[in-house]
Order: sequence, then C-alpha cells, then structure tokens
Amino acid sequence: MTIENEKSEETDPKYPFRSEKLLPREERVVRFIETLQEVLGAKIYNLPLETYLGTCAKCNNCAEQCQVYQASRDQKDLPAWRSDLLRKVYKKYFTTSGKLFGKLVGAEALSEEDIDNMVDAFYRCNMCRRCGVNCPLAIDNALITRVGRVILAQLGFVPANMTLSTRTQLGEIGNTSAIPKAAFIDTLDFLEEELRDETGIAIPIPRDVEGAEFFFAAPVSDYIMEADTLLGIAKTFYAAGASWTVSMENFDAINYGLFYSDADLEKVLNRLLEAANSLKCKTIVIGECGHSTKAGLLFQKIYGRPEYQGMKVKNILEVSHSFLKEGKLTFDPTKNPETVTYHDPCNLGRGSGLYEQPRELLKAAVLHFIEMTPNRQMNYCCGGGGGLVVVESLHDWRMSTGGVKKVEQLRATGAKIVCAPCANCKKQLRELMQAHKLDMEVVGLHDLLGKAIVLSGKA
Amino acid sequence: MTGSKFIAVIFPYIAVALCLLGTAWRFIHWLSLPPHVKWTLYPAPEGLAGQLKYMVKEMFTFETLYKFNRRLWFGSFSMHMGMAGAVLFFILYLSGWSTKLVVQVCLSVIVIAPIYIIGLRIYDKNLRLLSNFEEFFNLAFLAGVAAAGLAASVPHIPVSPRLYFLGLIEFRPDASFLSAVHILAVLLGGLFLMYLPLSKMIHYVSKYFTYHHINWQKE
Repeated sequence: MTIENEKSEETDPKYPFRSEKLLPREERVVRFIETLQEVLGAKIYNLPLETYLGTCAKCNNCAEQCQVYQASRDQKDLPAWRSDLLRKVYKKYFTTSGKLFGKLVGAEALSEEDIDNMVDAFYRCNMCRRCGVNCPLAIDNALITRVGRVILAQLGFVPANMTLSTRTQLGEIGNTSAIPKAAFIDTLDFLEEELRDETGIAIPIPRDVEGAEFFFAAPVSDYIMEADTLLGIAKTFYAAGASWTVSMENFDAINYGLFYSDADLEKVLNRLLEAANSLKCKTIVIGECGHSTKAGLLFQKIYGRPEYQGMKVKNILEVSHSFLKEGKLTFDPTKNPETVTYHDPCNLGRGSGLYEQPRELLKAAVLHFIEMTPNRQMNYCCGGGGGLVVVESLHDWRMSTGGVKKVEQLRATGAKIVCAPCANCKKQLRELMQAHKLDMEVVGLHDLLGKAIVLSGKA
Repeated sequence: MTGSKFIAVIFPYIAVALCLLGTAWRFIHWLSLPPHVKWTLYPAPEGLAGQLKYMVKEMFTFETLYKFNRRLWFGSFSMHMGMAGAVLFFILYLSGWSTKLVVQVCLSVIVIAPIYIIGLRIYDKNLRLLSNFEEFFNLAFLAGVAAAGLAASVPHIPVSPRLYFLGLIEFRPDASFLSAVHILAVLLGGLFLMYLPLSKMIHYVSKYFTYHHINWQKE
C-alpha cells in the first residue's frame, strides 16, 4: 500500500489536498473497500479494529475529552461520529451481522459522499488520543482515524507536503527538507563553531562514528531552525561523556508515514534502522520529535526487519534523564530565571510514556517551573497533531479551532516560556502565539538544558 | 412436548450453553489473532496489582463516565449495578440467603435505567446522532427481560419460581406449575443470553483485550 509516485495535477476542488494520483470519483468506493480488505488482511490492526469498531457503546464520553469538539461544538467533530464513518463500512462489508441486518446494526453501504466526509473528518482529528484516556471501553479513535487515513491515501487523499517530503526522504537526497549532504556538513560545522564560541570548549557533533553507543537522528528541521536544541543536545552528550554519532547518510528522523501510510512508515523506519546498523550502533536516539519517536517505538516490532529487532529506540528525553539520574549532569538553574511551563507532546506522553523524565530535567535546569492544567495524560494537544501542522491549508483551522484550548491553557499559566520538546508542537505553538497575540516564548527542552548545563572542567 | 414445556425445560440449557459458547468463541477468536500493532496508551498501570486496582475501581464506580458524562453515568451505572445485583441476589435468593424483594428491586432498576438511557439518547442531540436501532433495541430488550422477570415474581402468582430454578440447577426441571408469565420471562431471558455474545454488549469480554492487550501492552 504505497502512494504511487506518478505526478498528477488532478485535484479535488472540494478539499485542499493535492493528490498524487487522484482516483476518479466513481472508482473511489470500490478502491476504498479493497484497501480496507487489504488492511484487514495484513492482520496487524485486526484486534484493535474488531474491538473498537464492534463494541463501541456510543456513550459519547470521548466528545467531552476532545479539544477539537470542545472548540467547534460541531457534531462532525464528535470522535465517535468520525469513527462511525469507518465503522458503518466495516460492519456492512466485513461482518455477518452487518451483511444480514444492515442499518439495524449500524451497517451502511459506502457512498462517495461518505468518503468526502471521511476526508474532512479524518483530517480534523489531531490523533492526540486524549479521547481514549477515559473511554470506558478503552476504544482509541485515533487508531481508527489512522486506518481511515491509510485507506484515503490510496484514493489520493493525502496532504501533498507529507507525500512529497517522504518521497524526497526515500530518494537519493535522503531527508524530508532536501538538504544536500554538503550543506548538512556545513551546518554541523557551524554548530560546532557556535559551541566553541559559546563555551570555549571543542564540543564535537560526531559524524559516522562506528560503534558509537548512541545513533542520533533529529527531525531535519531541528538542524536548520532549532539550533539551540541541537546545541543543548550536543552539550548534554558531552557533559555525560557519552559516545554518540550522527549519520551523514541518514540524519532525518521524520517519519510522516505515521500519519497516512504503513508502507511509507515501514520504509522510513527501516532506512533509519539500517543506517544505525551500518554504523554498528545498538541504540537509536530520536531527537526532540514526538511522531518519529512513536513511529519507532510502536512500529519497530511489527515493521522493523528481523535483523534490526535487537536495536533499541529511545527518545533523547529518556537518555538525558538517565544521564541526570546517573549524576552525569549538573545544572545552574539561575541561567533560566523565567517561569517555564511544560507542554506534553501527545506522541511523547500518551504515545510513549515520557511524562516524568522531562519534568525532572526541567526542575533541575530552571528556577521556576509551573505545570499547566490539565497536564500529563490529559494535556491538550498543540492543535497541530496528527501531521496537521504541516498542512498549510489547515492553518486557519488550526488557529481558530484545533489549538484554541491550548491557547487558553497556556494563557492561564502566566509563564514566560513554554517548553515543548517536539518540532511539530513548536511550530504550531509559535503560530498560535502569533495568531492569538500571546507573549510567550516557545523552546525545546534541550535549549533550556544547554543554557544551564555546567561544563567546567570538562575541556 | 408442548412449546411451553420446551421453553421451560430444554430452552434454558440451550440458551446458557449458547451464551457460554458464544462468549468463549469471541474470547478465543480475539485471543488467537496475530500480533497487532503496539498501541499502548500511557501511562499504563504498573503490574498486575496496578491493573487490578484500575479495573476494580472502574468496574465499581464507572469513573471514566462519571468524570465526563454525568447524566449518562447515572443511567449506565445504575443499569450495570442492577444487573450485577440481580445475578448476585438471585443466586443468594435461590440459596435461601436473600429475599425475593431484593431481587425485585434490582430488576426494577434494570427496567427503569434502560428506559432512562433511551430517553437520554432521544433527548440529547449528540447521543441521538450516534445512536442507531441497535442501541435502542439492546436497551429495550434488557428492560423487557427485566420487566418480564419482575412480572413473574409478583405475589399473585401462587407458586414461587424458586423451585423451578432450583430444579433447573439440579437438572430436574419441573415446569408443571409455571404460568404463561413465567414462560415468557424464561423465553426472553434465554433469548437475551443467546443474543448477548453476538451483540456489541460483548464488551464484558472485549474490555479485557482493549485494556490488557492494547492500552496496557508493554512490548
């Protein structure tokens, strides 16, 4: 199930998603059913899908947890209604009761209009999984959204930036921002110079070091636009005396396949695993990026090639926290005197379980830490989750609906700085600050660690 | 054998057997599915003790619904506690350790609570949008079974059904003294048991998988 790489200018004017190869309207229903059959045939979703689609009690408990519905109050944003779009089809074509009793059991034949509704609904879901936290039946609508998107992508409905970025990443250039290797080397040289100028110490950003303990990959945007995050990470590795490396062949951790395609997710993931394996590294450390951490953590067992199963995938927060616990890091919190609050990226929190590690790091490195409410598993998504942050045509929606609850939450903290250790969250939060005129700085966790870390005596 | 006698003497065994078989089939089917994508929802309770603590609390308080949907919680919690109470106190009643009145109270709750939820599903625009025939049917069916049970237990019927059920347990059912109301209650109860594992009400089994196998999956 890969998006075909044929270029086409065909678009559906109703939706702002360019199609790689848009199917004619009359062919979409058949293809949809075929793809759903393929998804079920692949088996990896069968238990979640059968239980989620077959037993939802329609209690609507998810609605009061969904920040999109809370903001819009539009019935089309009810998580259970959105999931019902796929549920009806699944029941109609793949269950005995649905075939026999049809609408009586909530089964309905798929129409082209239903597909239109899905294109709309599945790309108004942040896939944040907040609605699943308090589902009495433990049903996770985000997984249904994901499966829906995987199917829609086969019909041509997929945000163009995602597929184009992934195609670039899987091509010769090897990263989603099409940065040539020479430019990347220049960037790392520049970062090393910055480190030297700032600290007076020759802190390296090691490249292609065979046998390094940690193979590091960040979302490519971090190398270009989040220099402070990268500098903080380099300082942290240096202070801990850790052996780490960046690959010159594969340094981009982004995996947009998580949002629309299993086939692309698998390719990107294995590409990363292969790069680490070729350098004989056993642990892949993902930078401050939620979705690529989740893609690695949740899908390695299913999609990682057998020879890569022994590898560990970790997020940098976990690694830095372990350095802290081992007494390898010392901070001077007076370097960060402003009040800092912490945003739990959905994919790092609900998706990966990293709740306390970043907090302990922050409390060690900043003078005033304040929690936002709610937090941890009930934290609000930034409003750009599920890859929506890269969909420019959804910008206004993200500002007016998707991120509204986040803005209210941030404003209530009164903090000067919000720490968001995720590239996508940072982008969305900065846009929210601008759109809602909120005077708050958005930084990564290692930006703050880097400012406060004590490196004396390490030169 | 007359139809009534069949319903009273043979049908209960068929219903219970099909309910157990259906439940077992659903359980085994889900258990036998190949490894699925890891989709852990953090934080997952730590260890068996943590999981049991979460489940027991949820089972006896319906906390998740209580926190976000108080009106529905009132009906759903009452209905489920009524069902649990009816089963428990019916067993105690058969054992001679409880009065019929307690069972009747539980049955009354199982009649009223589903009607309340049906009303809520009609009144609340979001629940109305989400509800289809199946939701209403399940609730009405449950209320109907409980109502029939309640009707069969009222005092004007001369013989207590207790002896009949004890006979069923001892595989010596005697239906000779049962009235049409009793037969109707047995029929509806049996049909409900047979329907239960085939319906979405199988969530008494699916929750094991959605919680333990998916939400709380470690590796």
